[in-house]
Amino acid sequence: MGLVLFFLFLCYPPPVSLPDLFVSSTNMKIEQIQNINNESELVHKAQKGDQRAFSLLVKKYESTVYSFAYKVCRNEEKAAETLQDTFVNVYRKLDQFNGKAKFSTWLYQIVTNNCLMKRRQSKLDKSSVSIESHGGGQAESELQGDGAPSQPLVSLTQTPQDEVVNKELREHLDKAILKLPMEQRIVFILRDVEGRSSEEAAKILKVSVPAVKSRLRRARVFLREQLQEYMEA
Amino acid sequence: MKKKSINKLHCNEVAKYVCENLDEHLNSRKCRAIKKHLQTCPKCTKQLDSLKKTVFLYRNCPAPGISAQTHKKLMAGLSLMITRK
Repeated sequence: MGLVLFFLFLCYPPPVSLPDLFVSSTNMKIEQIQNINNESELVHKAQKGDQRAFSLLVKKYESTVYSFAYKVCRNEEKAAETLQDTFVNVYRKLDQFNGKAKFSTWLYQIVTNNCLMKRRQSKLDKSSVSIESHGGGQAESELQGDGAPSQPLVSLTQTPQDEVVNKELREHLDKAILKLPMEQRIVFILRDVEGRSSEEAAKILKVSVPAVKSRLRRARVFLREQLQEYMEA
Repeated sequence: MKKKSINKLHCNEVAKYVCENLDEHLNSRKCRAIKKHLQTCPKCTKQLDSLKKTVFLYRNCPAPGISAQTHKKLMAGLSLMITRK
């Protein structure tokens, strides 16, 4: 009986389940992933149904997607949801990627659409509403009575006091950017924070380069005004 | 008075151009003229500096990294989706 069972075990080894394969491949070291220089080959394999190739793409880009989503939403929970939605969409639409643009550009298109969709679904961005209803008063109250910030703009040596300042500054930056319309916010982050070119931002958003520049100008001017008190420090 | 308004208009034009093209590597005739203007106009120079500071602050504002829990949830969700397909 034991011999029969052993024979059956040899003949029918348990197949590696897809989730196991998927998870195990994500344990690859980052260096290994970065060494995959032929990205188009990886994408091509993933398009053909190679789950390992897909999981490598996920591993390679998950931080980029999460970081971008966080910078747009300024909220970890929303960033995590956007991350999930983005890769689900990537998997479903992978065969639509034709390789004419860079894979990262295509990925940014998807994550950007997800950010915009999330905004539309919620209709009211709670953060924006709360800030606008306060007219930025809360942020102002964090400054000195005369309106001047009490601390230097950027601290070069980190002290406990600086940490408080940095936290305050970060909150101020978050509040200011959340007041921007989503289209301007995304352009500002793509261009000024992520360092993408105007041409690439235009491709991602499917708008013209002058439209990108116009949105960017408005975003920069608005944010500068919002941070005026810090500028004069 | 007329001179002042012309000068103001020029500063507005500079401000618009700078706000649209900051960080672009341009070397057009207009760009050179604007650079020249910036050398002699303290108001525009101040505006440019504050714009640079704004961008610097956002560029250097750290974003949290992806947590182990978020990564695990992503992988589990994708695995489930793939197996169901």
